[in-house]
Amino acid sequence: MKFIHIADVHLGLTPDAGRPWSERRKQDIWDSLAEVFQVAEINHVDVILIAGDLFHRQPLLRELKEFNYLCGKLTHTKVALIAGNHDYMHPKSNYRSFSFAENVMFLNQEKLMSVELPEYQACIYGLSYWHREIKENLYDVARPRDTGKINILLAHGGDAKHIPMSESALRESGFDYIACGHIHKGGQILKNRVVMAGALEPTDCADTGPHGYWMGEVTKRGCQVSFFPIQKCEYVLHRIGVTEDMTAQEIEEKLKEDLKNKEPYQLYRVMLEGTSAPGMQIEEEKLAKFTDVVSVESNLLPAYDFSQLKREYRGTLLEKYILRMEALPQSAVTREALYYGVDAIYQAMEQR
Amino acid sequence: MRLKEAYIENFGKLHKETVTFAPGINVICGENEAGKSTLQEFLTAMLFGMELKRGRSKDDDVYRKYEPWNAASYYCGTLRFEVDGKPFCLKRNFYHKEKTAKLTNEADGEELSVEFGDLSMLLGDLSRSAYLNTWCIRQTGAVTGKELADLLREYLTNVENTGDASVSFAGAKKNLERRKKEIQKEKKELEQEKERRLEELRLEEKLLSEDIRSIEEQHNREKVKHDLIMQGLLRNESLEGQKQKSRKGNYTPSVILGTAAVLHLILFGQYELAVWRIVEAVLLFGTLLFAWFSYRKERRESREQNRESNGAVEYMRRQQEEMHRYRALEQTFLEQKGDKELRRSNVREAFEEVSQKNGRESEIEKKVQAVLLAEQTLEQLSGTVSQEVRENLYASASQVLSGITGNRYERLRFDDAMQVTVFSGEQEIPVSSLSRGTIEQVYLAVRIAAGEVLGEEPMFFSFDETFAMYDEERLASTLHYINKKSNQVLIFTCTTREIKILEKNRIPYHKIMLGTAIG
Repeated sequence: MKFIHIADVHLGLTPDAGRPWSERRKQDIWDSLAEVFQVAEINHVDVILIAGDLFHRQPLLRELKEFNYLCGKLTHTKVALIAGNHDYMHPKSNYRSFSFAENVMFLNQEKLMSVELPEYQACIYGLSYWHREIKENLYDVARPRDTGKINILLAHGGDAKHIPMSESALRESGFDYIACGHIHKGGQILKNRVVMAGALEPTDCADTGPHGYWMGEVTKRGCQVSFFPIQKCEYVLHRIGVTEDMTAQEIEEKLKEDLKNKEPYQLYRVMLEGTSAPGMQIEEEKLAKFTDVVSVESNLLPAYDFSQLKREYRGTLLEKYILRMEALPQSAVTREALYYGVDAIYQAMEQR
Repeated sequence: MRLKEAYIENFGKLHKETVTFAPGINVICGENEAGKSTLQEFLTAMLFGMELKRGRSKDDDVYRKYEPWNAASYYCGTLRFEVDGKPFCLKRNFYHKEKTAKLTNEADGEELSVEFGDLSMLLGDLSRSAYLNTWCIRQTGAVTGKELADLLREYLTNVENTGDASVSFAGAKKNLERRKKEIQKEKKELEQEKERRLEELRLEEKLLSEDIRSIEEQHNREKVKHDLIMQGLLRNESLEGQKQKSRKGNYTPSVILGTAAVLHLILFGQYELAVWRIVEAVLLFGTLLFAWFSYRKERRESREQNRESNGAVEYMRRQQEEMHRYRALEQTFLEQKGDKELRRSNVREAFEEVSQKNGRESEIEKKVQAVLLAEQTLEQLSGTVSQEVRENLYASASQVLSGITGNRYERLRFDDAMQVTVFSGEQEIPVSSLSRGTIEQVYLAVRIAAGEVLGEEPMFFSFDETFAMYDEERLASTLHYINKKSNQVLIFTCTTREIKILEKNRIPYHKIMLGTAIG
């Protein structure tokens, strides 16, 4: 049985709300879904598995109609669907009253249910979220009834508040393929057995890396699945290594150069890392205005060698400050405070 | 510590130069650019080492400034000195790739370790910056008396707050304050952005709520109307309208009849021929007949209609029609309302999400905490100088002051209001109202005292053009005073003023000429 597995499409979401490209990105999400359906049609895929969070929130009627239109157009493919934590079965949800096209199998029950696909000797299991959070490990105990069939589980979750999953339990479960959703960064949890689809499109700039759909074939003898990226937009965490002998101008030019070499569909989240010369000012706002740069974060720390400073400034406030800070229980805050204080004192010495 | 001899292999403009120091006062003379500052930097570098500071702007990098351009690996020198009467020899190579420091006790040949702090111990744990801010005294560069008074006050504040005179405490605090403001600005921008987003959602929610209310109102109005119709208290206008149209009568016969009557009146008596009379009579009769039938027909129709509308069947039919109409309408209302309500709850959900703290906010929160912790720690570290050290400092400074001013001023005080005062024998005078020359002397007294009180090992004083602004009388009394001290003194000068006054006052000194060979 040939299948396509997607999840976390988040239709109706406006990514990066307030930014110039956000409306385009909203349309991208619909376009990508349509693209997947087209791929299914062309490749004569038997079933599209949607592992939750098809919609970002409660779907509006017209949104459901749009989706249903895409489903109805398929000449061969069936669509299996569950509701995730974002589009959960709210008492007033349109999911409850909507009548889908005949080829859509909506596993809308709160308890694990299944639908048979007799033509493929297959059975698809799944449940829908009826609440925003489910803390029970519902999938760990799921078992297929008839092991002679091709058994597929649609699963949504994987963190503490959304049906925690244990890898070992899934391994033992006896399903031929487990199509997971919820975590936006996709990957094979168990190769060719358990796959986290990842968001079809990145939903905000934190979703870095490639996104797309999984396509493969599952039989009783095993499963083969591979990833197909959708390259409408990809957020790339672009690190720029900074050393203390670099000037602000140099960093700017480096970024410009890097932007020239990137793929056109990529958007950069720039992260400045490393050490900078004490007192150097980098105008992050200026860098953030470059085309295709989503954000600029600076994690630069001034290039201070604390043991050397302690030696060189023995008995001074600088040494006392470093010692005092180092004596505190170390955390991200004390580390940052160490730099702030040393910077302030050191710069004050330089100013004399 | 007493310096004996310096040998400079390569250091800035000094090459293979040997300088011998005497105990007591040494006057190092030389024209500008002769290498006085170079010698001073060399001594500092020898005693405290020198690092190649990476990433700093090139012009204030001491290493690069004095690096020999043709023989980097011969960037080295030797310094002989005495501590507690014991002779030591210190050899250093500054070249950053072959950095070495070798310290030997020349009395017994014992090799000491610079790396493990033996040199620091000999220097009484004096740091480079503390040295530069106490024993090593340069021309202040302050132009006006007020600037100098401010400098003095700042110096005292720093000594009091940090006990080491090397750090500008106020400067550090100011830097930290600036950093805090930057972080707070960033935080505020983030908050504003969020508030803007929330405001958009609030507006959307409000519009949806208004829509919902207006749908509800419309629905209610329709419902009231529907109920009245169902109770038969209101006729359904839309249904009534059609009926009335069909009841429009046929008035053609009456019109014809009327016209004929008028014609008859006008033409009566002109009828010559009986034929016309007959024609008229036939027409009249026909018209009357037509009118009669029309009337009969209309009456029949109207009677039939009345019978129907009053009848139960018609009543039922109309009620049913109304029910259908209302149900369809109600369905539309409910659908519209449901859609809007769903959208509203989606907007509310988004509102909740945006209200929650996001990653960038926690990041900035962390920064705020860090800067507050830094500030608090700096505050705690200040004021660590003990009352005893403080008293010693002012006692010692007062002594020095009275020494270098020939007892004209004594008792230097620094009160809680940050006011520096001296006692002139008659009254307390705020430093700011003293003459510039005197403030210079107060400043000098404080620095000399700070070196002595805060340090452990008595060092040599190094005066770099310190007395350039002193008048003859002040210079003489100052030189008299420092001659009485047991410390070794280096006076760097480009004029012969100091020498002339030393000669005149018969103060012994050792003269070192620099740069005689340099054109």
